[in-house]
Amino acid sequence: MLNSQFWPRPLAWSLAALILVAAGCGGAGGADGQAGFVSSEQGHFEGRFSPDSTPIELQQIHSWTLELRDGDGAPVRDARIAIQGGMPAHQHGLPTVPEVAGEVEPGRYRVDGIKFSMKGLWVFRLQVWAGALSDEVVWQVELP
Amino acid sequence: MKNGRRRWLHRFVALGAVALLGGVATVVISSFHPRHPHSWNPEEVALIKSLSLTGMAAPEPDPSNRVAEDLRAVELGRKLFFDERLSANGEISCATCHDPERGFTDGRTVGKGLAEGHRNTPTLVGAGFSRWLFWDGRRDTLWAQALDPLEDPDEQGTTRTRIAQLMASSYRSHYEPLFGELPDLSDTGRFPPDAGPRGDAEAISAWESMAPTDRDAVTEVAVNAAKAIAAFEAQIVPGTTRLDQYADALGSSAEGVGPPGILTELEAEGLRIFIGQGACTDCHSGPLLTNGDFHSIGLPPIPGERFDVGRIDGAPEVAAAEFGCSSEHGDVEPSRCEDIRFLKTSGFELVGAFKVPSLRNVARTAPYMHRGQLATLDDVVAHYDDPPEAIIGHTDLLPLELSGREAAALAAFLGVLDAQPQGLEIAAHSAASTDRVTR
Ligand code: HEC
Ligand code: HEC
Ligand SMILES: [Cu+2]
Repeated sequence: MLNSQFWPRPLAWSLAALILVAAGCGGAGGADGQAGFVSSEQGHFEGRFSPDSTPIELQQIHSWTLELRDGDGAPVRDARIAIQGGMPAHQHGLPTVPEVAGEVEPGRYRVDGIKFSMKGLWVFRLQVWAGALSDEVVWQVELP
Repeated sequence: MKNGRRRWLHRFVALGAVALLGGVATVVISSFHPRHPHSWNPEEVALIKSLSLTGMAAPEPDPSNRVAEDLRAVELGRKLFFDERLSANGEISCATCHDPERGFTDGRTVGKGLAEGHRNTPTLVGAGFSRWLFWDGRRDTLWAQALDPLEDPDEQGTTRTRIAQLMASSYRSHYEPLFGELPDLSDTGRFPPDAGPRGDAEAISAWESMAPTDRDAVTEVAVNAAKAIAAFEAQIVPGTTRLDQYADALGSSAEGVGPPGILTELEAEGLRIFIGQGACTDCHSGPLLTNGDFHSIGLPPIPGERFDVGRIDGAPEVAAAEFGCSSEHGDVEPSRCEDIRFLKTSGFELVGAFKVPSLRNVARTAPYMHRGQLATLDDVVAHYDDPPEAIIGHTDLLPLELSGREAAALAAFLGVLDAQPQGLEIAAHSAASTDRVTR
């Protein structure tokens, strides 16, 4: 029944989710956007992804901001970002194709066109390229 | 003394046994009957209240339709909705398939106009709230949708020039105050009586031989007529049901105990399954009981019929359609059409996915699903209880394993969602307007 063909890397997803939960590192960003920075998968960056307005309303298209900094806390500038996401429990992706609008302040990138269709756990994978480095920030949002 | 002690012991043992039995019985009973059917915990109360119509705003006026809120457009649209002259054989109007007496559906498996179609006729109650129109969401505004059945050779099958001519001959006094002067269509050399991009071969070639500016003028009249129809449709909104009454009363009772006399115990049990074990509110959420999105629930294909792939075809079509929010006929900056800007057109999960329908008035709109595959609400519950493997694509459903009573409760609950649609007194108007439009 749980068909994994269209869910890119189910194992990676669950592992990422598990690790984040186990580490309790604040990656489980609440819908209130209170969570702190998380380390990217290979530790090159720290990222925080938060909605521009709260509470998050289901079925409404809205914007989020990704903040990126390096190990010394300096903003990561001129990054290129690709975004993917979905609900691991239901094995579906995002209902829209979000767009990275640009770097609105040093190290702060606005992402437009995010929409949620359901309550529950959503996971974003933000692929980041900056300078010679490439890494992935995994960010969870639980919609109550 | 000895005796005494023994009696005491006996009593003690007996008491213990009773207590034990009682305990076991409580556990057993409570596992069958977790709570009183009308008592709800705070999360359940919040979930039930999130389904209530109370406090929900009217549909936001469609920004791509400048007459969306104009009552004169509503009135014109109402007449056009019931006007059978807007069809090739003079016998079919929107109301032929979207009959107000049947919850704006036709009671058929698939719609039938000039010919039989291949999808079930959905209700129009609450359509003004929809971001996407049609089962596959291949249109994004009501007015863009309305042009489709008018020109579809299997539905009303009329032509674009004929629509414009009807506006000039019968609706000039309604049309012109809203949209300005109608073009002069009297030169039948320039404006053939039956010309349009979707007619038969003759109509298409007549359309192609017209001057581009004349075609544009005719198209604009047809679009305006469709915008009036859309203004009317947006008035058709759901009425207050017993679920809304129950949810509202629940909000004011401190303990989360449902008010008596609104839902039966069976219906309340059905509500508990709907928001709980059944996970129905994953998709049928909010006051309209839909999340507005597309999902596959793995309905089996009809033997011998081409498999209907749904959203995977509808998504690219809505972006490319001649009519829509971001088309040249929309009255808005295309960048404001966010649903199109961030449209998702690919992904395995779109194969066989269809729009989650509102469940308001669902008892009136049998048969069910995009192809009318399921005849009754009991059949629907049986599908969700034991969903088949998807033949193509995937299914979003997991088996529910309901007992017979639970299945009956869920079906009974779906019957609670019924009310006379509100807005204009549509049924009363429909009789009157049919008189008025007869030739
Ligand atoms: C021959 C029957 C028929 C006629 C006539 C007809 N419709 Fe429909 N209507 C349907 C069917 C069938 C669908 C679903 C088709 C699909 O999804 O591919 C539909 C879908 C719709 C929808 C989309 C509802 C939703 O929730 O997605 C709207 C709105 C609508 N029709 C309005 C109209 C209007 C306005 C007219 C007249 C201009 C009209 N219809 C004429 C059968 C008909
Ligand atoms: C994964 C999302 C999802 C869930 C969960 C879900 N539904 Fe649906 N429902 C849909 C979709 C999509 C359709 C239309 C499917 C189609 O036609 O292919 C639908 C159709 C229906 C219809 C038919 C309505 C009509 O007008 O034809 C009913 C009734 C219904 N659902 C009831 C329920 C109930 C009861 C539950 C819980 C047991 C439930 N649904 C759970 C997505 C869902
Ligand atoms: Cu989901």
